[in-house]
Amino acid sequence: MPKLKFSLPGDERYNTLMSIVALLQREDEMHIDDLAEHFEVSRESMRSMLATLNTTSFMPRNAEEQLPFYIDLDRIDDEDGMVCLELDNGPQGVPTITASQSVALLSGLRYLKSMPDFEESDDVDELITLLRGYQPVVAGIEIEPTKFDSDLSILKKAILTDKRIECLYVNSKGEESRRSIDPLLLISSEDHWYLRGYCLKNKEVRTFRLDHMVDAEIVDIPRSEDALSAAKKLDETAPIYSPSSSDVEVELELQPEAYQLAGLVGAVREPSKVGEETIRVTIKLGYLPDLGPLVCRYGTNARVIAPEAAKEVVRKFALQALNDDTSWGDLD
Amino acid sequence: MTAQTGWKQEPDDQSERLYSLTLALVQTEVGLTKDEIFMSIRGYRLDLERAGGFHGDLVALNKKFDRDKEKLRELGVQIVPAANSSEGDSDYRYRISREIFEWPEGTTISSKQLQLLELAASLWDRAALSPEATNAITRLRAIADIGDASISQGIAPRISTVEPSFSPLKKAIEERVQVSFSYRRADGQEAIRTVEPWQLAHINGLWMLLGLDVERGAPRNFLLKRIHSKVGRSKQVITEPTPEQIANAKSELAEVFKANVAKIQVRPGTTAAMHFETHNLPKGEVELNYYDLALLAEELLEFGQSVRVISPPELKELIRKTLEQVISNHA
Repeated sequence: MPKLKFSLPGDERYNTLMSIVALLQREDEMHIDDLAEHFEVSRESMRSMLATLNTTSFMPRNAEEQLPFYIDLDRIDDEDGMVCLELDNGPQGVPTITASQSVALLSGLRYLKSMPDFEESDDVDELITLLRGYQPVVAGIEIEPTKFDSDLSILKKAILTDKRIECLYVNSKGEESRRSIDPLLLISSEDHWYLRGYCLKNKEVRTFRLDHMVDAEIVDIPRSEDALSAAKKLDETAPIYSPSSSDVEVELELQPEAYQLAGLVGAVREPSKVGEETIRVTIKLGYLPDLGPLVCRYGTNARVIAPEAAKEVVRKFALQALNDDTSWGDLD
Repeated sequence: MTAQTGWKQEPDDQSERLYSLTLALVQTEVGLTKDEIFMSIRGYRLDLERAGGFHGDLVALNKKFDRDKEKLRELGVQIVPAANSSEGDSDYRYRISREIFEWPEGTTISSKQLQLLELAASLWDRAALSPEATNAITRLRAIADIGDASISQGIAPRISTVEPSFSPLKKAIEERVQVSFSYRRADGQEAIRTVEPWQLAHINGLWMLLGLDVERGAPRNFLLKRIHSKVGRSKQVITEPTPEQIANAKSELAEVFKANVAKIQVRPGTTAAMHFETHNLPKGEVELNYYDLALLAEELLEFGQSVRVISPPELKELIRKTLEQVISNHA
């Protein structure tokens, strides 16, 4: 269930007012709850916008002031809750979408189309055809199809068919194990895909990186009650890493090349500028050794400021990588 | 749905005034003068009365009207001169063409398609294009069938735009103006670059600006994360790129990626073996394509002692140097 909005930003409120009228002109009448659900706003917010439509007025040239619409609010509040335009002198329809709106949706649709299970979707094709008419000849923004993890399709199927999966997984400590997971949601963030799922071993919802997982297969067991109840509480918009009170705070300085690090882990407070383009951020980590690969990846563009233990983790990780050439002979 | 606490009455704001203005200017056949608009729309009329009528100080009211016109233009609702009316006329009349309300005949969207659009829009959650995507969906809801909105697709794709240069570059592309910025190349050299911006492309997890490098007179690709300054704009208006120019720039990029090959060895039983899919390879060796050494080094450095570079030697050297600098930075 999408989150309902209680207050809309100005642009969205303008567009919603337009769209409500257009929809009511098409549908004749609708229940206020259905109308609110369709626009993903609370009943109260919808009631407020309907009241606004009633007070919207203008005076056409050389004429009396007129109300273009009238909606019987008493019927909504005290009778059957149905909404209709009793008086309707307004324009028909809703404005078409702008070029930049079209680019935003088209880039998303093209990304979906490159994903497993969406390549053949006629619905996606129809939408692309419809929206293409509103974008400029050359789109200012484009998302190129990316390489998708081979397990993505299997995991998506498991979620949609309510089934458990088993896979081989290596955690960030380097421990390899066979896992049974009730999958809940696949999330992409930066350049990785993650699975949020109920881990049968740990008996809680965990986040798994798909590129640390192999050989995922669906098992013919429905997802557990615990997993389904966790699914109901799942916030699809929550960041990948949710800090907890026991996490360690780490202060970092980042150059533009490493800003992504803050986006990936999530800064716990607003970053501050310490140089022309250098920012200082504080992140929270549950397992400090995770910091080694995270910081090392960005080389000299990311630097731990505090605490000392965090600096030591990064130094140790880099030292091990630097002095490791001797132990590779066994592989040949 | 039930009533929830925390809800506040919406203020009588710009959105309502814009809505009234749109209705008034769409409905008029001959257009409305500014005076008529100020008298017609409640949001202006109150200000007019406060100013003491048309002989009062209308500077603030005129500014408000100009801001509203600009806002409507941003929303794709263009206020145009009415027929036989031109700028400078004392009775200049405004109207809004009904064309902007005209969707292709019979356009409807099924509830399933609406969900797909919501999923496509969710890609921009918390990113720079989120308002555009949300506003588009709101308009499309007017032509969408009513249906069950609660069916999950099981996926939440997201893209991020943490680079501060993203929004100014997007705006410059839309307005077709030249930009300049300080760019740090992979080898660490930093210089001011002047660019005719063509497109922001998200390729292999990286945001790149495709455009014409003015000094070099040739197309170039710039990684947004290597832009080390604010984006400056010039008044120089540029010509729109052709689809062929964009395709050529991308194909050159793809060729560079294909031509650059590195060979690495990955330790079995590690996250690196999973990531590079070497878990079933006896020697754990794999070849990787790359755009430039610094980007590949970044990917490999994350895996520390789980990977080692076989070739090219420059990559091995770059990783060694970077590790030494990381150690010294954290001493």
